[in-house]
Amino acid sequence: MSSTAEPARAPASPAPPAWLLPRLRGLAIGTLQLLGGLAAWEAAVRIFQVDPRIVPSPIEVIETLWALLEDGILLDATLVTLAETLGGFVIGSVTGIGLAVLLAEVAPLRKLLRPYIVALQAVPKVAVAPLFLIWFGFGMESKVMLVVSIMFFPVLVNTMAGLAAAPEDQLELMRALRATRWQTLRRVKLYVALPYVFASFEVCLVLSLTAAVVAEMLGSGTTVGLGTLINIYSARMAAGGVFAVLVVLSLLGVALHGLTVWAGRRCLYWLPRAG
Amino acid sequence: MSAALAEVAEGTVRVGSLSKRFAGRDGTETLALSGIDFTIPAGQFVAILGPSGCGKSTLLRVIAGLTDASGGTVTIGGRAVKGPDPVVGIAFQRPVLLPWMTVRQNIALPAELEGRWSAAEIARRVDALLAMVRLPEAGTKMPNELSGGMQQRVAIARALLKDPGLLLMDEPFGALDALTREHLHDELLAIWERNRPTVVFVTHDIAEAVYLADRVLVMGVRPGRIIADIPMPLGRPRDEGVRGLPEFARLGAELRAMIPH
Repeated sequence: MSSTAEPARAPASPAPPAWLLPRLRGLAIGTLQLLGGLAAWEAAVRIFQVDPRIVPSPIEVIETLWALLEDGILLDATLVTLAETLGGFVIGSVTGIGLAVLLAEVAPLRKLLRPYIVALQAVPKVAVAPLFLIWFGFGMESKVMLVVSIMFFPVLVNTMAGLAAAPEDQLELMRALRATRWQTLRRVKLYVALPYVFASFEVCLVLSLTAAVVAEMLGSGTTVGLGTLINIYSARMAAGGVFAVLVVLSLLGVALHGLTVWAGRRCLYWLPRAG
Repeated sequence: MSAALAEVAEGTVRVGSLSKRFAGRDGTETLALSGIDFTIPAGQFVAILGPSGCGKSTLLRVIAGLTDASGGTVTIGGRAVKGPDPVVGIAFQRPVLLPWMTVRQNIALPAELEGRWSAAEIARRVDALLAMVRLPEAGTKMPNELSGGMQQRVAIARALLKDPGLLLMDEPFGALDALTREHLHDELLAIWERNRPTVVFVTHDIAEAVYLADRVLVMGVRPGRIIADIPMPLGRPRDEGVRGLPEFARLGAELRAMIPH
């Protein structure tokens, strides 16, 4: 049947596009959940008359948050922690991916280094943080290095697994086309490895934020990050300040996670989307 | 012509006393191919027909230089095969397109890797091939947006990119439905008629072998060996009408009687 035969069903008023309604509904539910949670928190603090030095009410937290933002101290600290996290993330990923490629391509090196890698990987990184303070000082370097140590191994291991996962038929195609080792690496293996790399990013980026904060809490001299602020406020029994920093940290964590997921989707353009 | 340095046409394939053994896990050896001898003159379309497990794919892989022979010789255009040869185009059972590249990039891959042609030359050839395999609009698509038949067409275009003197095909239409397969038979023949490269086409489909080939090499099992070498005198060019000829049915029946069960 031709489409002109169908009577046109023009709506009296333009209906909202189909995708908008579920989104609006989701937004409304999310807002209600947030407000509900805050209301319950506020109510609990009032009913049980909790000491604000132990658990502040959400209103106090928001007030403190606002005051700290106006003061500028919170923004500066956020930038310091973010710089440590991202710097460590970049260095850790680049070295992890680089070493993975080297080990995947050079079998003797892989055999030589494997025991060391397994041993180092087993060391709990946070336990090494005090050593990093001794080695790299109380500035940002020691924090960056702890983040690097958190990122490095998962990225290394995942990238190696990804490089080894290239399907035999694709490798055979490259052999039949007389591709060099470098060409096979660049045009096949790295693409096969990319989803594995992003999987490790997704897991580790939030962990590396934690690592930066932990390193700051263990000791920071003149540079004030979010971990330093937590130390300062908890020493003053200023729970409102601690909670304000925690709010910023969770927002930062969610943002970083969202960023990796988004970047992953952009970079892995050929994979079928789930959902 | 001097005997020592006889000029051999580019697409000529010679296989002499070829054998291939596989070592099993328990140390026993399996003889996959034994005493294989044949010569394919340049420009001939040869089908290698046999039941599954007869080693026909292994034979193709040895000719392609993807697997070493255990004994005997293979030459292409007079050169001993020591690895994949630049004049050979190959199409596998599955399309094996790289999913992160567009259709154009997939077809261009052999030339991109070789790095001998300019980008403009490659683009010109890719355009011609896309038209030839009747996918002129598909160049910017990703492989997973295409049906199985379309993907296999792209794989064949890729195999043809460098104008190979020898085209090796390992059951390239085996995974497709019967209608698509018959379409692609006609397309393949039309493409082949243009430059007439030598074709070695592995299949277990008798009608496919009769319809496509000038000559059918029938393989037997345990060990894999050539048990018959039969010409297919059906004339060229061939079209759908050939399938109805009594000669077509007779050749099919003759081959069927030979294939071991």
